Order: sequence, then C-alpha cells, then structure tokens
Amino acid sequence: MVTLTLVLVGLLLLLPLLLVFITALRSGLGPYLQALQLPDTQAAVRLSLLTVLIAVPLNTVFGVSAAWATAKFDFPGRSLLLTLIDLPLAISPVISGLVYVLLFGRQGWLGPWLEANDLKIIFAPAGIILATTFVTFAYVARELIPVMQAQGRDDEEAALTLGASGWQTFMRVTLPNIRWALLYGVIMCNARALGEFGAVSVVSGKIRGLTNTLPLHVEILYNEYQTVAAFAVASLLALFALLTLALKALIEARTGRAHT
Amino acid sequence: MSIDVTQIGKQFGTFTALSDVTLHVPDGQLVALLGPSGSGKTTLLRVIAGLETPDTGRVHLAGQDVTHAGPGERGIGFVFQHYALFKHMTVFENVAFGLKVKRGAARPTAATIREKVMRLLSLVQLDWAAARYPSQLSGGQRQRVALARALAVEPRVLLLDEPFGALDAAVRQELRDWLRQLHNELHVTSVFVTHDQEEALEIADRIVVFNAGRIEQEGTPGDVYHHPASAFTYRFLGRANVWQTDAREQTLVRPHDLHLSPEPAPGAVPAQIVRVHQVGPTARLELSRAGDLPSLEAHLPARDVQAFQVGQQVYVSPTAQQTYSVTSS
Repeated sequence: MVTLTLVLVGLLLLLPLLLVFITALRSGLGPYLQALQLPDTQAAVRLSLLTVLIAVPLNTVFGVSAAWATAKFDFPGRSLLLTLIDLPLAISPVISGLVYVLLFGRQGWLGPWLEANDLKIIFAPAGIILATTFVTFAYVARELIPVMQAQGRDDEEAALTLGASGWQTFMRVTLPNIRWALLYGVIMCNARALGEFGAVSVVSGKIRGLTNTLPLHVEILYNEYQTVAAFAVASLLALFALLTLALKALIEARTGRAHT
Repeated sequence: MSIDVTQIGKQFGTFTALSDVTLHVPDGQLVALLGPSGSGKTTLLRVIAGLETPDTGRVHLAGQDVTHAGPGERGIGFVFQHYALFKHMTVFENVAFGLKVKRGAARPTAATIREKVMRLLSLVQLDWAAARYPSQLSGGQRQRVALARALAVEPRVLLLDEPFGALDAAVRQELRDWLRQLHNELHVTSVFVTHDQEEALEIADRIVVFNAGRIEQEGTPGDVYHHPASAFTYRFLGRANVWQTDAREQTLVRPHDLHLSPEPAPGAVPAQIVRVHQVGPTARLELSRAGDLPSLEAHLPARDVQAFQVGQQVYVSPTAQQTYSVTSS
C-alpha cells in the first residue's frame, strides 16, 4: 500500500512538477531568464501581483469579519450567510466569470451604464480582480470559522468583563487566538488567487501586456509553441506553489507545538 | 455592593430560561445559585454580569440601574467554569489584562500594574508562576489565576460560574475552603453558580434554589436544608426516600433519618435487607418493603451495621420526615 501510494504520488505529482522545471531549462539558463524578461511576461507578473495584492487583503478582511460574526454571534440569517460563503466554492469558476460578463459586459445588465460612465470592467484588470476576489472569497473564512467556533466565546466574554472594548478584545484576544489559522487561510487564498484560470480567462479577453495574468500567459505561450517560454513562466507559478507548501508545513509544525 | 434583580425574564427561542425572577443579594454576602442544569441559574448570573440581556425586568447594582450597561461598565469580576484564560499570555499578562486595557488617565503606570499583579498572585499563592503560560498549570492553578485576574479590576461584585465544576474532587474541596476564606478576607459580594448541593451548603451564606427558570426557595443553608419548601428542594438537597405516597400527598424521608430495629416497634414497618454497602464511615442499606411500598435506602454509621445482615427482617421507622402535596412537586 505504501509503495503504491509513493509510486502514484511520484507519477501524478512529482514527475509533472519536475517536468515543468526540466522543460523550462531545456535550452539552458540563458533562454530561461530571457523568457522571463519578455515585456509581456513582465506585464503578466505585474497584473498577477496587483490582483493578488487587492484580492487577498479584501478576502482577509471579509473572511475575518464573516468568521467573527458567524462564530461568535447568533443572529437571524446566520445559516444563510454560512451557506452563501460556500457559494464561490460550489460554483465552477467559468460560470462565475460568465456571470460577470453577463453583468458588466457590453451586452450585460450594467453594460450600457458602465459604458456611459467610461468604466471598463470586462476585458480589463478590474474584471480580473473582481473575478479572482469572488473565486477566492471563501478561503480565509472557511479556515477561520471552525477554529473560532471551537474556541467559543469565553475568552471574549472574559475580556469584556475585564473592561476591554470590542476593538481591544478583537486585537488582544481574538486575533492572537486565530493567528495561525488566519495565516494559513491567507496563504491558501493567495495561492488560489495567483493560480486562478477559469473565471479570469472568461473576463480577461487575453489582451497581451494588458489583461493577461500568469496562468493565462502560460496558455497563450504554449498555444503559440513557445514551449520554453511557457514552461519558464509556469516554473514561476510552480516555485510559488512550493513556497506555499513550505510555509504551510511550517505553520502546521508551529501550531502542532503551540500552547493549547 | 448589593445586587437587585427584579422580575427578570429571558427566552432562548422557545426555551424559557428565566421567568419572573426577583432576587436581592445583600452587600458582602456569598450567595449560591443552586439547581440542576437548564434551571436558569447560569443565565441569571450572566444577566447580572451583562453578558446576557434580559427580555424583561431590571438589574440594579448598589441601587444603580445597570440593565443596559455593558459587562465592562458594571464593576463586576467574572470567573468562568473553564477558566477562559488567554492562552497566548503568561499568567502575569493574564492578571494584568484588565489594568492594561484601561483607557487614558484610568490606566495605572507599569510599576503600579506590576506591584498589583504580584500582590494578587501571592494572594492566590501563584507568584512563582508569573512567567508561565496557562497550559503549564493544573486546573486548580488555572482557576486561581482566573480569580486573580477577575480581582485585579477591583470588582464590587464577584460572579463565579460553576468555578470548581471542571476540577477533580480533592482540588474542588481545597478550592472551596479557600474561596470561603478569601471571601472572609475581602468581603466582596459574591454569587456563584453550582449544581453541587454540598458545595452550596458548605460555603454559602445564602442559597437560592432554581427549578425550571424560577426561584424555588431561598434562605440560609440551614433553612433550605432543614425546611425545604417543596419536594423538589427536598430531593435536590440530598437523597430522598418516598416513605409513602397517595393521590394527594407524598411523605419523604432522608436515608440517615431512618431508624432500624430487629424488633417490632410502634410506627415501624417491616422490611427486608437486600444489600449492604460500606462507603467509608457510612453503611448504605437497601431495604425492600412488603406490598407495593417503594424500597428504601438507609444510612447508618458503619459501626452500627454489624447487628444486621443481608436477608434479615427489620423494622423501619422515620425519625424525621416531610410531607408535600403531590401537585406542588
């Protein structure tokens, strides 16, 4: 069983990963670095970073508030909110992208109004950021809700009876209690945001140098038979994924030893 | 500081946690709220603390209406059953928390905080643990830290929610004595919730018995134990035998109020010894009576039990008993 698992892991996970780096470096380090320095690639890096820099903080704030609200308070509509948080996970990203096109596209509901006000969302960075934010909406919240629910309300109530304000309670008691789960959620949200393809592909329009994120750029290069360039860009994403895994392992090791 | 709650009502969905509860706690007393789980005692404590808003009624502390004041504005200290210590802070930081979150001029200097925290820690005999984390302490020690933390803000009322409920028997006994002693020293008005009648009888000045969201009876431990106003209180404060029952009335008797004799006596009914159980200094005897009379449990000093054997016919009479009308129970 163990051998079979190892063989499968090797074939399905490690081999493709290795192949990405082998193909990327097939013609040597020179062409690899050159491929990374192409203006379109640089633009894709910048757009991906911008997307992540907006989507992840937004979803962090949202995730913490949603988890705080649902785990620490009971209010009408609480279970509806919990279900809604899962919506982006349940829907295929392509559908999410299409919904945005239907909403904000030229033929969409808000299309004419956006055009009249000279706002562009579809086939523009705004649409990419919006779609990415939607798709990665639940990552932080889902990580925090079970943790916060398990912790209960005692610590917060203790802080309140000791005279702490709501904000002091949150900053000094709640946040330290969830810091590792939060970091974990942010990292996973980040990884997902950077790798998002489906929804972004629908709203992007794939205008080179303008609306291509890294995953879209990989596809375009690959379709144009620029294999080395495609895999060079792919290796950036793969490196990031490895970094994510390392951080994740580190957090897991850290929380395993944390005070309970 | 005296506590007055007036006609408090509280619903959770369809469940009535409290209905029309009125209670006065005089300044400086140690009062036990005693009852089975779900009887409303913890809800009342949380209403006094401001952690729960009552649907109806008012809460006054020292005559001042605090019904809508937040928990931090009431001058209370609260101790939780599961300690609720801040895991990421040391014992020192936990106790200092209430002082450090004070705003503006109300916040003491770092030196004052240090001195005060160390004084409280030595009061709870944990000054040696100041730099430890809660996870490095035993349950009893954690609860003492929680108590020191609650006392740090100089509460005028101390509220304790099943403070010893999560501890094992020996530690519980020790902390009980210690809490009583502490209360004698500090004289801060204290209310604690418990479902352990022995705990309530042992340390409280007054006991308030709860049943199904209402106050069943209140009084001194002696009052409540010796003159239970209802069959519920009688049964809740100790083991009870049904001596006899009919459609209207029920007579209850405590196991240690049963007198056993080998010979017939006036007022005594025949019974057979089914089992004898030695529990330390006490022997517990299970007795079956003829007909459909309920079986009895009798407690005798262990040294008196030699005279009796399993299977033996004895004559039982109550030395004390209480009769309640059936509808009231």
